[in-house]
Amino acid sequence: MKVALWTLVWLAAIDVGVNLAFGISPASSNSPSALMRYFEYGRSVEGKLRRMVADPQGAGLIVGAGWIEADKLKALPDKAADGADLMVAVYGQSFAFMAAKEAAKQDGRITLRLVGGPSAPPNHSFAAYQSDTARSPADVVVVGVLSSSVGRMGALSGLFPTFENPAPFTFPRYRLSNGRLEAEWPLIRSEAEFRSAFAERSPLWQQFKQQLARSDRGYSSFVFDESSLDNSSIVRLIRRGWVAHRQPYDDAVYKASAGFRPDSPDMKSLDAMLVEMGRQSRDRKERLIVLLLNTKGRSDYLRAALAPGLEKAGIEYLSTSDYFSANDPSNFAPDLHYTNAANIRLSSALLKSIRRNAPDSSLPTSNQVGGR
Amino acid sequence: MNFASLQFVVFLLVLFAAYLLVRRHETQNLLLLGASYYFYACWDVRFLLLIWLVTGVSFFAARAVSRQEDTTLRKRYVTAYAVFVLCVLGYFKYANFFIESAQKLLALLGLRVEPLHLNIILPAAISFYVFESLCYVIEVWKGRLTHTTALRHYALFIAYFPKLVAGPIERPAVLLPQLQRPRIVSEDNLTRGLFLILLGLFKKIVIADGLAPTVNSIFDRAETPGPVDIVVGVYAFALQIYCDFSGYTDIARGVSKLFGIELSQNFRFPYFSSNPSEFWRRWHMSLSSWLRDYLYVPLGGNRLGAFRTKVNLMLTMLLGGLWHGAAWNYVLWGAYQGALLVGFGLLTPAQANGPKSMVMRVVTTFVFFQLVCYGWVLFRARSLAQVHEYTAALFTGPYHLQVTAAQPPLATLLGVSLLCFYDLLAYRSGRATFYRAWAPALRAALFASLVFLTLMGMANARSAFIYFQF
Repeated sequence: MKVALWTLVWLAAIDVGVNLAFGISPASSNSPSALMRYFEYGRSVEGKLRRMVADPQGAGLIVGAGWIEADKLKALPDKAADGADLMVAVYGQSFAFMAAKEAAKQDGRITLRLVGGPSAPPNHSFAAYQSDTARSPADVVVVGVLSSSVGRMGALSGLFPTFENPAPFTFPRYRLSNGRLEAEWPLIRSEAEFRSAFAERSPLWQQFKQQLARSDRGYSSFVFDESSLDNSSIVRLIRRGWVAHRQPYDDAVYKASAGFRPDSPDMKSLDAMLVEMGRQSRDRKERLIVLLLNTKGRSDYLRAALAPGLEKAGIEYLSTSDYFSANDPSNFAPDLHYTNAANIRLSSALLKSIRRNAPDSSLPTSNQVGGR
Repeated sequence: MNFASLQFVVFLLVLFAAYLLVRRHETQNLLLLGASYYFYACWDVRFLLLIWLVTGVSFFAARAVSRQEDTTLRKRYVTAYAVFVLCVLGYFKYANFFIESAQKLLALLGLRVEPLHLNIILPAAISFYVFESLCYVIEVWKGRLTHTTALRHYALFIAYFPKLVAGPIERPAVLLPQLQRPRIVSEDNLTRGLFLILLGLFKKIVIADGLAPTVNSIFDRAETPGPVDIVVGVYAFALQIYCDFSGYTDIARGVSKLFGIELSQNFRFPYFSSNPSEFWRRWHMSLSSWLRDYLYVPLGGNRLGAFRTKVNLMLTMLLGGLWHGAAWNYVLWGAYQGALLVGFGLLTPAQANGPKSMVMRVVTTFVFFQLVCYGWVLFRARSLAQVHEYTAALFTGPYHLQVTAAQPPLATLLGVSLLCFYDLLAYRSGRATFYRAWAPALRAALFASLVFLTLMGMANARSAFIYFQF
């Protein structure tokens, strides 16, 4: 009994000691050290958001990322710049942007319009494409489907999927009903709405939380709600460990070593989204290229899951598995993006595809589909 | 069902509560037997058929042996059982390996054969309970053990869930009597059991799982890394496999202690060994003693002259390597271990006294640890080709100080330091329970450190226990 009590005393002392030594003071202007950030990772989502909003030049930079808003879209390049002959609109996330930027750098005559968000899932890309109607038609549209983000089609925002660095941008969930895609839009749809609702914890914020509880597969009040438990470094570690081993998004669409589950409703929705994007891009006289971006350890699963539907719909695609293996750790940088060498291989193939044929040719030849 | 999972925690809590409520030890045994079969069925319910087959056949084989007076017939029954159970093990574990190896050999000789691959699932735990059942029948045959008339006791001996899927390989003389008599769930058992569970989880979650990405970043890449990277990866794997396996055993022993049942120690600070004989008295002790008693000694041991002793050692270690898996790199690892045993056996141990002997001990331990680590290259490599490439890189370079291996998490680095400190103190005191002599506050500081580091390590990606595949 004595030992048990002493153990609790020691744990309490460690808890307080860690907070004193590595606590981040919101008033401090210094950048937090790696250790300070480490012990903060398990703070509740609301707790992190509060600190991020108070630090707009630091951690708060992510608050503005990813929102699908007309004003933000208006600020992006709308046509090929002087000296460029192609306008390429890219929808997706950092992996797709890196490949596109490298392709543009190699070519020197491409103007990029980059629309995306941190680890943006396909429903974000689809919603962004549909909302991005005010621009001039692009010559080529590239949409990046990231394998680790596919499961996040079960989310309404980036708050839960990237728990350690929650990104508050929102996007709709799509569900297939009688062969038609139906969208459930989040109640908060802009950065300004988010900032004002969150600052005041307004009724809109409470309703948004209720919507997340109903419709976001990753929602958990233990993970989301700020409380005095956030002050305990031990509780933060427990929360972080618990989140690390919950897989609510992936479990719905993916089985390790077997790949994506074709029977999953979200995978069927993804098929439908890509087919619809294909149809809309043809209507807009734009050439669509789908980038299948396999993340570390995800083998060739994206192609196995999506290629049949893409080929049936006549949509051109490129798969990273044709250029490097996702199972070889040497193709990944420490932050899990592709290495420079791997990215160059992918972007060279993308550039070849972008430059192939006339810009308005949307029916691929047999050596285009599959992207070799 | 992984020990380091919420599912197992719930399973254990429910089982333990029921165990306490039930007073009669025979009812407790039935509870443990049912729970063990449930635990095994969580892997794959079809596996139950095989364990029931092995349990039934070995039980009745031992009964036939015990009832037979004619020594020739007794030997025939044992031989028949040994052939049967080794054929079962051979089929499930080695059939495809032997078929593929034969096909490659025939191809080398210029003979074309149709590729053949049998669709066989390797049942978890088969290597462990086959050896335990064989041990039981042999012990009854030798007259060192009386055959138990209660099938339920024997079935529990085979299926007992804490040691079922990754050992220790228990001796019937150690475990059966504990199952046959009433047990006490004492405060001492509870505290010691909980500490072992905590220690095991710490080793597994903080160190083994934390080092897995580092090891994988070296061994799972397409091109050959540099020598420094290989050394980093191998040292990381040495720690990973030790903590993974000994951590599992700690949890198994801790869980078993909760029920008042003592399982054998399986690791005794093996990396403090200064020679291979000592290493095999400290590493996977239940397997090495089984191989010694049921393979090395029956082959003649060291009783038939120097040359035959070496042959027996090599054969034993070759088969010991093969036990670990159906792949040639395991056989190569076994051969390497055999060569170390034979080689060190030829050396005359140097005599030194006082501080000189301490320095010699440290030096020989350090040197021997490097030899053990090279063995881990053979063990962890994905293929013989990788063994060749990594060995060439180690000895021919190019040498540079660049390290590209994935960095372990902070919790792992702190955990390795704590583990080294703990193991060193335990090794020097000669007792794993050395901390019990400490003041309560100091003991509690150790427990709190383990708890806190384990919480830190909880964010590590979980990997399966390495020895589950054996």
